[in-house]
Amino acid sequence: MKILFFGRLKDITGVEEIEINGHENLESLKKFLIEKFPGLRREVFTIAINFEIAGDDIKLKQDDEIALLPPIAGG
Amino acid sequence: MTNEKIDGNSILNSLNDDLSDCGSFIIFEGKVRADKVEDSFVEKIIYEAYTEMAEREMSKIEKEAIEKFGVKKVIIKHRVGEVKVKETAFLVVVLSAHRQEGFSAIQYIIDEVKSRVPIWKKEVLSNEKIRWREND
Repeated sequence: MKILFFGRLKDITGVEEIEINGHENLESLKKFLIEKFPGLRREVFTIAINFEIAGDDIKLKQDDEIALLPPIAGG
Repeated sequence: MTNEKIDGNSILNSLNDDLSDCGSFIIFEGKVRADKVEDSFVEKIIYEAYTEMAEREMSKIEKEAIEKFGVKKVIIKHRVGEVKVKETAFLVVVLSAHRQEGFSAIQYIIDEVKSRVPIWKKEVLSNEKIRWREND
């Protein structure tokens, strides 16, 4: 699955995207991401899966595009 | 989403729809302000978006506004990249038979875009500092 980082989260992780495998739910994915990028622990973000805001109980698939979105600031 | 300057008049002039039943044309243009920040001021804003999701959300908001308020046509545009002070960053056009539904729709659209469309901004200050900015 592809993980995308936007806004200040891109500065914190130092990358725009990563490709990973083997996470079936958001809890496992978030734990992995915070271990890999400890700076994310302090950040507020929502998660979109395939362009829709995701609920915590969603089951992840290998071909999902997952985006970490900091608080929206358009306009 | 667009990298190009947004010009409300040319957008209106390029409409091909039959608008003979529209008595109300409302245009909102959100521009970059030279806000004072301590002893400096904002020179420009750099907008970044999750483009595919942003465009999907803007299309949904256009449809919602038409269904909810019965307006005839909605156009939403938002810049990405560098936008200087006084330039338009965000434009909404609402065409409707009467003004009441148009004003309700445009308020709804602005609020929804600012809370749902994945866009972020960095302010570039006159002292060359750059900072991420959240909406108030």
